[in-house]
Amino acid sequence: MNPSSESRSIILEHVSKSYREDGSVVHALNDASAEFKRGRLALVLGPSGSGKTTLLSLIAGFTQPTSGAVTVFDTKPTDLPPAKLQLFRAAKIGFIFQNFLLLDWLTVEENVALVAEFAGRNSAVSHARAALERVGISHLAGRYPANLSQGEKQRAAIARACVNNPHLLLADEPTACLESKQGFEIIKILHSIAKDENRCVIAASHDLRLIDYADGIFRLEDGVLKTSGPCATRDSYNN
Amino acid sequence: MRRSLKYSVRSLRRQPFRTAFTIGAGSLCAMLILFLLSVYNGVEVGSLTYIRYNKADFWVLQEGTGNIMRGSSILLTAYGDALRQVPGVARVSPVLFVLAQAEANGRTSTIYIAGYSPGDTLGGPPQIVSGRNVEKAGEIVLDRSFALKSGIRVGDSVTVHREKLKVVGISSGTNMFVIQYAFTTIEQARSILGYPNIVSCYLVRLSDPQDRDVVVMRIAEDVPGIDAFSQDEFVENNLREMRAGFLPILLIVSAISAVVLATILTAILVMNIAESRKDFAVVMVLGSPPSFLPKLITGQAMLLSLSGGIISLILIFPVTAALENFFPELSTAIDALQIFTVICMVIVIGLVSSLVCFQRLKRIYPLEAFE
Repeated sequence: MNPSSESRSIILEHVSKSYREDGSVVHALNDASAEFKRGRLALVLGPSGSGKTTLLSLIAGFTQPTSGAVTVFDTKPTDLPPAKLQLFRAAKIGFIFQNFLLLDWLTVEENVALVAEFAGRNSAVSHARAALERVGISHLAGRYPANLSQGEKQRAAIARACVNNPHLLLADEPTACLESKQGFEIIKILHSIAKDENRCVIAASHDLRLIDYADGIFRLEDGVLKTSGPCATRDSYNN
Repeated sequence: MRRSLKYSVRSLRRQPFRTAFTIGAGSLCAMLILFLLSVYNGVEVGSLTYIRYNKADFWVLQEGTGNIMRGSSILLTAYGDALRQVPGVARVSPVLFVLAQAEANGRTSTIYIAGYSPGDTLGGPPQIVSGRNVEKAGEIVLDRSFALKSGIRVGDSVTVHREKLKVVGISSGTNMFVIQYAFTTIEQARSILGYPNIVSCYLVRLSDPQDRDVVVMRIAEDVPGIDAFSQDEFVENNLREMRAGFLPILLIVSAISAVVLATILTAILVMNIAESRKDFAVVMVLGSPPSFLPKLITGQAMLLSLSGGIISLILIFPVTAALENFFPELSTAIDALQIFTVICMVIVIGLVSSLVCFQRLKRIYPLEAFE
C-alpha cells in the first residue's frame, strides 16, 4: 500500500477477548472500541490484570480477538500468514518492554541492528547507529546490556523499537523499572517520538506522570476500556 | 546463513563452559569413532598385505575353504604334484599356516606362522624392515609389532613348540592386531605342527595369465577336492572374513558413540533453549522471520558438532601415535575416506539434534515476552 493513502489509525471495533483458565472463562477484554492515531501518545491506564497486555497483544496480532476486529493501518494483522505477519511487525510496529528485554548476548548496536535485519533492511548496522544517535547513546553501541544503567537500557530498547521507523510503538509499562528522573526522560522521548516523528505511541502503564504528556487516555478496568478524553490531566484522572 | 551463524556464535558464547564441555564431549565421541575406523583400517592392512603382496594367479585351497583368516585348509603335497602337471601352470609354491605359541623373554604369545619355500618368490613376508628373509630351517622372521611387544631383536631366539628358532628378520605389514604373522621355512613349519607332507595352500603362477579360465577348468577336471581362487577373489574372501569378525563390534561401538554424541548435543541445545526461552519470545515479538530461531539452533548444533569433529581430527594423529607407542600390536591407518565419514557423521548428528529441538521452539510463544 502507498504510505500516503494508508490509514493513519489503529482501530478496535467491539473487540472482546476471552480465554479459559482453570475451567472458567476469563473476559480479558470486553467489547472494546477505540481509535489510536499517528502523531499522538495514547496512554492505557489500569491496574495489573486489567487487560493492558491483552490489548497490546491484540493490536500486534499475537492473539486473535474472540469477537470484533483490530485494524492496524488498514491491515488486520491476524489475517496475515505467519511470515508476512512477522515482517509486518518488524517493519510497522516497535515494541518497548517493561524490563527492557535486550538480548544480553548481543551488544547494544547488535540488539538494534537485529530488528533492522528482521525488517529486511540493508545496512542494518548503520540504521542501528542512527537509531542509537537519536536516543543519545551512540557512545554505548559496543557495550553489552549488562554494562548499562536502567535508563540506558530503556533508551537502547527505544532505539531498537524505532530503528525501522515504525508507524506504531507499543510500550508495555515503559517506566516501571526506572527511577523518577530516568522515567521522566523516557516519557519525554516517547512524547517526542509521537509528535516529532509522527508515530502512534500506545503506552500501557500505571505511571500517572505519563498523563501530562498523553494525547489520549484510556482506562482499563476488568477488561472494559473507557476513554478518559484526549485532554485529561493527572488531576482529572485522579478525580 | 552467515548472519545466523554470527548469532549462533554469540548465543553460544554466553555459556563458555557449557559450550567447551559440549565441544570436548563431541570431540571425544568423534575421536573414538575415528580411532575405531583407523584400527579397522590398520587390521585390514595388516591382514591383507600378505595376500596382496603375494600376487599369485591362483590361490588353491582345500575344497570348501575360501580364506586363510578363519579357515583351516589342509592339503597333501601330492596335490602340489598334481597341480604342476596341469598344462599352463608354471610354478606352484606351497605355504603351510600354523598357529603356535612362541616364547621369548619369559613371555608367551600366539603367532600365525607362514611356512614357505625360501627358494620360491611367493609365500614370504611382504617387507623386511630389519635383518633378512629366512634361508633355512631353524630361522624365523617376526612381525615388527610382535618383536617390539616382546622385546625381541634380530639375532635373538624364540622357542616355538620346544624348538629354538633364531630371529633373522623383522617384517612389516604383517600385524593382524589380534595376532601377528611369522615366517619360517615350510619344513620348519611342518616340524612345529608335527605332520610331514602337508600344506595349507598353493600359490600358483601361470605361464600365461590370459589362460586363467582354461586352466581353472583343467584344474577342476584333473585335481578334484580343491578350490582355486584368483588373487582378487581371494583378497575379497579374506576381507569378508575379517569384516565378519571385526565390523559388528566396530559398528556397535561407533553407533553407541554417535548416540552419545547426539544425546549430549540435544540435551545441551534443549538446555540452551530452556534458558533462552524469554529471549526467543522477545525475538518473535520483534518480528523475527519464522526461520530465524530454527536457523539459530541449527547453527548452534553445527558449530558444536563440527568443532568437536575438527578437534577430533587434530587430536587423533598424536593420540594414535601415542597409543601405538604404548601398544605395539595396535596398528592404525587413517585415510581421507574415514575423515570424510566422520565429518559427515557429525554433520548428520548436528542436523538430527537441531531437528529434535525444533519441537521445543514450537512451544515458545511471543506472549511470554510480556510476562
